[in-house]
Amino acid sequence: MFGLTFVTPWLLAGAALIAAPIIIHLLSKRKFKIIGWAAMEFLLEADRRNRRRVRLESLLLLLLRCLAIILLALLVARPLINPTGLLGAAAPNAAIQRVIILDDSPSMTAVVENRSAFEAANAGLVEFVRDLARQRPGDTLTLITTSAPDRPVFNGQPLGAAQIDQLIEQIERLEPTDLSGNPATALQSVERLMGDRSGPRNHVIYMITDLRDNEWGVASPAASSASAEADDSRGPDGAAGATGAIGADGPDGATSDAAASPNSPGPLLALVRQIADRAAGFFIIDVGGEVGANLSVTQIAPLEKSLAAGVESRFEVTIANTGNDDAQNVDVSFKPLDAPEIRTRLPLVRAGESASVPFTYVFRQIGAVGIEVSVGADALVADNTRHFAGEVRQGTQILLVDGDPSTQPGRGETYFLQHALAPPGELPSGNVVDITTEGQFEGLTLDRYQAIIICNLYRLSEERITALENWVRGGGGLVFFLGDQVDAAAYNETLFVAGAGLLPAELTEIQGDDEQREWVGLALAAENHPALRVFGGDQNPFIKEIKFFRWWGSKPGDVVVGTAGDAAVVDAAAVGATAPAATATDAAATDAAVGNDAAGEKQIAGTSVVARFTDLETSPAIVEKVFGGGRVMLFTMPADGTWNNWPSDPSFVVAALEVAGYVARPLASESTLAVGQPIEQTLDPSKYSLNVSVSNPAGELTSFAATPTSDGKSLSARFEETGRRGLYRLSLQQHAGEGVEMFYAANIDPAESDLRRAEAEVVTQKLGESRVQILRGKASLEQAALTTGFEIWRSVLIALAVVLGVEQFLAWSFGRNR
Amino acid sequence: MPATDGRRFLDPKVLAKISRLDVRARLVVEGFITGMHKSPYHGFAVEFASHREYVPGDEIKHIDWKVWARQDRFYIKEYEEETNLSCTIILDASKSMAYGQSTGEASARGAHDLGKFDYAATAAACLAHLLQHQQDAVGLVTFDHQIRRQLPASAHPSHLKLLLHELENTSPDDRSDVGEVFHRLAEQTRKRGLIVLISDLFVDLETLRESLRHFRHRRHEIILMHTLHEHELSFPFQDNTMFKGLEVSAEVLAEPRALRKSYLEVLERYLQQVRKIAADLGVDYVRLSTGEPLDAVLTGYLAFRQRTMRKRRR
Repeated sequence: MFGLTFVTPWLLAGAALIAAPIIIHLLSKRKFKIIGWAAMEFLLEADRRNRRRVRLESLLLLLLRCLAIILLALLVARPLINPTGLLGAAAPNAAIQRVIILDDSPSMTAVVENRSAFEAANAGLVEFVRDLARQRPGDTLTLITTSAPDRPVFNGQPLGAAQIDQLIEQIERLEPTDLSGNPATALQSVERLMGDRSGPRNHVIYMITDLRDNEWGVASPAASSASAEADDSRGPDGAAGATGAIGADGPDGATSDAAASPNSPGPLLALVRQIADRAAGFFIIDVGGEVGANLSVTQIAPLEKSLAAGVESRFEVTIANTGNDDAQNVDVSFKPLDAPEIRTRLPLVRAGESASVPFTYVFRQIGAVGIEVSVGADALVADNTRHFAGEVRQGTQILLVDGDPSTQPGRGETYFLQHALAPPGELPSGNVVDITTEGQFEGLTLDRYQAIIICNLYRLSEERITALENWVRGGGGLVFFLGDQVDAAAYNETLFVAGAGLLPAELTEIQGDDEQREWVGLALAAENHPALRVFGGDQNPFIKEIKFFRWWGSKPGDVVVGTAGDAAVVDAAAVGATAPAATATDAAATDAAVGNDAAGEKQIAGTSVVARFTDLETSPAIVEKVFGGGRVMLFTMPADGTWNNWPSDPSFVVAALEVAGYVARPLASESTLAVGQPIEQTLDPSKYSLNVSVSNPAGELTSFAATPTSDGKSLSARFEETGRRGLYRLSLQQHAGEGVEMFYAANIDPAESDLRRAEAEVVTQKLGESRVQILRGKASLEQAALTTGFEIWRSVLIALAVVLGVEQFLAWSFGRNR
Repeated sequence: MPATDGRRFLDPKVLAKISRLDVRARLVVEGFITGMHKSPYHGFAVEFASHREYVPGDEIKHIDWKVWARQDRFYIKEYEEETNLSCTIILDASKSMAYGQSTGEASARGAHDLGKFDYAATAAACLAHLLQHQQDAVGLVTFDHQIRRQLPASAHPSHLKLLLHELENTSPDDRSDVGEVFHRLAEQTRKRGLIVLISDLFVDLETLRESLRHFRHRRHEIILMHTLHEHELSFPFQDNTMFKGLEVSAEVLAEPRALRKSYLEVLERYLQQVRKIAADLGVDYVRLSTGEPLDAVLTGYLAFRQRTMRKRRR
């Protein structure tokens, strides 16, 4: 009635103790000694002088003591001031700004009890706003969605009768988005809003959320280790873990922070507490619920370095089950754009685990391609489909540098390599091979090549070496084949550079038998080398016929004993380096990042001997070095048939293809985006016109003009409205000829699929002493509207301390003055 | 008992344990005299009276060296005092003097404090004893609002006994009024002499002034021994107390701590007025507190004696 309610009203009975000081006062008046006194006149006069003052003083002290008792009773009863009541109305600035933070991320579309969390939230919100408009028309409403915290749906909207219908209509129109909003960002906007002194001073915050642990970060350590195990089960080899980083290049922020420290109250909780301390009320309204099986496509990873037309492209699709129940007979559909779908059935995906499905597809034409992978419908539909966008090229771009060219077939240094990598004829090999000579190589732009093979080159200029180093650091793969033209001294000085340069080993001198009467074989030193493992083992049938008569002696730099594990780590590092390491969103990605760090250490001395000759000294035959983001391989034999018979052996074809595929720089996967991440494409103004158009997944076309970049040399096409998941087509107009199309796939954050819930009790516990109330259930919003009140125990405590302090001071001061 | 121990009987707390007034008075006086060898108050008699044997504490200069030369013994020359000093001790025996009597609070606390009247009576007895010792004539008047008992001044040794007996048998009662009493006394006391007034002086100060003036007019010397209980001077009470007037029928229920400051102010003003009256009239003023040793009484008297002796020598 007075706008004052109590958390523990029965303790208010303690106020009856107010009688105590009065009774003590009265009793003390009754109890006295009697003394016969002679100097009565003096006493009477003193009493006359004092009476008024003493009475006033004791009355004051009595009042203070009574007040202290009342405050103590109030303190234990924990009053809530309801701003809707009399006290609230009497208070200045009684108007309250109600700030609603609505989670509209994809996870809110999870269906619980026949309707999605978002629908439940929306319906509750409408009721809430109606109630509020009826009861508190003077209040204002601010509605912030987590997808766009900087653009509130309403900001300080009055709740008058005139506006209410419009407001409700606007609320009803709200739709869940594909953007995975960050609640922390929304809270930060609320904090800014509260800092605005011009608005109402009282803020009540309602946070409507599905309370997923992923966002709130209150999971117990056991739960997080279980998820780590599940991630480990994704793939036994490091490559799968590494490609996880590509699939997970979603938004960063609180989610990954929370995952990193599951034990401490996450930054979100800290923020909640901080805001709740300043607000008149803070309600977390839980609209989520437990779901059964929830399948999601978390990753579509191409296993090829680049998609080539006409050859098989392999994909690994990861299906995760983040629900509570196992999923059986999961149909996975793989559908390239404008092509029929391919279906596979997974017999079982266990709850909390994920499974990989391989798909193979042959792209017929070069150009932009899009792939949609989907699984059957379940509680959360939004994560059932994932898109992949890429570009099919003619093949991996390989440059062969011939140090000893010849017009005669079979005599050129690169003849065998060329035929191995891109055999002439109709059948596509997946490689595009350019051949250049020593002289041409000096002036060539390297950027478009994914791999460069240098064969029997005399020496390289300083500028070329610098260019090569930069190119390798950027991920390029460089292969050296030696030969009789090689200037060992120059190689050692400019390429080996005492182990710091590109060349993995220092060259000594040519070894073997000039007469070619004696020969040695080849033995793999690193048994499980990703490229050459087919040649592993004793008496491998592929290489047992190979004869090496002469070779370059070499001393590898700081050798790390090559093992399969190292190779895998190195591999992970190579791929991980191209994907932004900081964009990790799940534990698998974190694993990759950790692998990246480990590889980073190895890179200091990342030289390993892959294969050795079978001579007495077991001279190195193939040496590999990781250099920056790329890698360099040294074959201490020539690529032609002068010193050995390997190039004419069929195994050379296998080796060449594998090595080229192994070292080749993967093409950047920029075309796969997270929802909300803008499309950015740099255009060559000499090639393309300014007009750019983007078609979104719904088919809506947006045309705009590309803007010049800051250096003025190129154009930048930037498209920001990527809030919807699916494929985006960027159409460019070439000055000459036809338009060019590029595809971008916007996918929702895989973290949204993780519907594991934060327990309300744990959240409450981690929040500690705060005003935050977590409400749940259908009536929770109405309940929140009614029990809006803020505790004033802090103020009461301060008042009590002040009263007691004043009482003590006065008592002392009165006593002193007598 | 060694003679030097006599000094401790100046302490009222020790004295309170001794019930008999005559013993009390004798011990005080002996203790006082014993301790007086360095005191400036010496040699107040002029005519030789007798010899007596030297005891430790006697002044060496009073040793009769001629006797020593003859008999090889130390004798003290004692002198006959002028006996023309007649002293009248006027003791207030009104009800207000009853404060702190052993029947009251003091005995309840188990403390041996002298009540105000006890103290005053002891003071009077000591004085009488001392005067008798000096062979002065001593008289006693006890009064409340009227004269209760009157013993005329006499230097006869048996007179002291009578006097002490009277003191012992007097208990304070009734209200005090100095006006009528003093005027009557002033009229009665014809022989010019010393008046020692021992009272708490809780009387009308103007009446007091007039009364004293009357005595002075009769050329009496007056020593005003203003006797107050130490409680009255310090007001040490803590708990809530109902103060009932001993002489007046007023009562005050008060928290003493709250009153102390004002009370002490009022008291101080009153004491100043009393002192002023004493100073105006040329009256010796000695304030006695029951908490203080009794030597103030004797010193007060002796100071007076010395002054009068000097006057006489001049």
